Amino acid sequence: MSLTMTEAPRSVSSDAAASIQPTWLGGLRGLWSLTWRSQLTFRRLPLLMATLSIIPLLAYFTVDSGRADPYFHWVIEFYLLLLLPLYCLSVCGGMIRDDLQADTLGFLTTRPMSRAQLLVSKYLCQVAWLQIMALVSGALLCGVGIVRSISSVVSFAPLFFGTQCLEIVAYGALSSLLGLIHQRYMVLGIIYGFIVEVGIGRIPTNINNLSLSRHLRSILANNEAIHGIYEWSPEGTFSSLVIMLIAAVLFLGIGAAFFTFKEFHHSDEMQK
Amino acid sequence: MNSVIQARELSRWYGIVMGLNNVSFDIDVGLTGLVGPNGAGKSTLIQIITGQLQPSSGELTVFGEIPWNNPRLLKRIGYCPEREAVPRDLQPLAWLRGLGLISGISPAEATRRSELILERVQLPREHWSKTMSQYSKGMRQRVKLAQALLHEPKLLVLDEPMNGLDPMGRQEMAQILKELAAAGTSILISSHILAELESLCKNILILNWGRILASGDQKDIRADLKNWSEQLSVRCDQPEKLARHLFDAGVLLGFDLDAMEGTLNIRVKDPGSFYERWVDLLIESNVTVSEIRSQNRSLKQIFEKVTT
Repeated sequence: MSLTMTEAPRSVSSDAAASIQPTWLGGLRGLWSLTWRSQLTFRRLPLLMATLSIIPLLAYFTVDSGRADPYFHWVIEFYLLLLLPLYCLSVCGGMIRDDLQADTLGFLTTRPMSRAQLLVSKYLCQVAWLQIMALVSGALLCGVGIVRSISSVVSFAPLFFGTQCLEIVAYGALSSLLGLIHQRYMVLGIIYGFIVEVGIGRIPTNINNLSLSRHLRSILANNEAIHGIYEWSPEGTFSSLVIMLIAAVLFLGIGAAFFTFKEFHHSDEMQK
Repeated sequence: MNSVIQARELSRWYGIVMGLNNVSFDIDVGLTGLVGPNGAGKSTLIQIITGQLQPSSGELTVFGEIPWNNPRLLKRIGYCPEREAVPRDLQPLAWLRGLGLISGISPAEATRRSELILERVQLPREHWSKTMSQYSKGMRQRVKLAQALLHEPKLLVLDEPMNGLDPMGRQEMAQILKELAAAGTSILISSHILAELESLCKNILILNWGRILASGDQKDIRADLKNWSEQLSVRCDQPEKLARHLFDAGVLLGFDLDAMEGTLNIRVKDPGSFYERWVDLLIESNVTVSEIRSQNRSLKQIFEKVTT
């Protein structure tokens, strides 16, 4: 049965919201404000402190004074090539999933910004947060190197921080895409790591260009100490830089397109 | 165009489960209630209206535009979800300010508006410095309503906003909604608390199993349901005799007798024809009637009728 509503029609043309003008910058500011406030809470503080300090502490207690090799193994192999990608996967992979699981995504997707803009803005905020965390962690690691009298740390530091920054941008974009593709993005990321980074990345043909870590190695090899320890080739450093940036843009673009067309339900998330 | 929301042959399914089944309706400006039991399709409809879901077939427009991925339209819509989830570790002011900035409000204005809105939804100021994890369900409902009002939407979509509120809170919420409607905001409100909707909304839309069972003015719906059975309570000197007489006349579906009170509660088959014969039937029964009460058909009764 259907009946006609009888209320006298009133105008809907007047728009109080017309004075409100959503902008990219405003959206980014809002999301950044929510991001850092959500991360920097009393509940998360112990985990945050542990994450920041565990590697520098381990490095401090396991590296003898003046021994560069074990120190760089910690910094390069464990921190830059393993821990940081996993940290990116955890933070950027969960940037939409965490809201979905907490059932708070609707508060964002009903705001006046396109879904692609929301995803890119969230990515930028998460990457900014990761950069801050990695900057602190990296500074502590460099501090350990200085305390342990590793002479090449000072010359390595600029390259280290630059590489770290680029790595977060690229792995963050990849992680955000994996997070959109599947709820179990950590598993997906680890499988990707084994196949592409560990497997394909070590094949001595051009196919290893698919591996992001291969490009990181190429960039890091520009430091003499690293080149001496690992015998990696600095050849194609510029190409590696460009490929890392293109990869980030590509992953982010695919993620934005995916988020634009795909619905995300809290109920689906909880049933899986 | 007077319709705020228009749906034409709108369907939405989740795999083989039908969320909405080929529904068409118009919702005009003003306060409209959306009623239905769990699984009726209310939340699905609300999520399509607020651009969180897309229709599987058919079309739904809000202010003449399709909501999915439409920032220009979303600027004019405020949404308060059913679930009580809010960012637990944030303080309400910080959360509202962040959402205000995303909505396009300047930083200073976002702070000012957040405070004003929290006052408007009557969240006591002493709780503003607490994180929302410490809030009661009712307090979270107020903050959720506040975030929906932040950007002064022209259409406010509220999914079960009365959940978790105490009677006083419900009354306050109803008052806020009435004020908003009076100021020109169109409001679509879904609820299981039918008494509130009945007093709050002139228009209602009743959903069940993904279909619209009734829509329009409450009075019209009541009138349209005139042929439904009706309950009467009759106090008389010989209730047994009256019951027998009415039963023999074939106008009753059933009756309950309260001999101590001298009251006969009857359920009438066809109220229309019953009332035409009612006086004659009473005279023929030869009983003395002291009181007749018709149990008012509330929205709840209508709802129960059409959904069973």
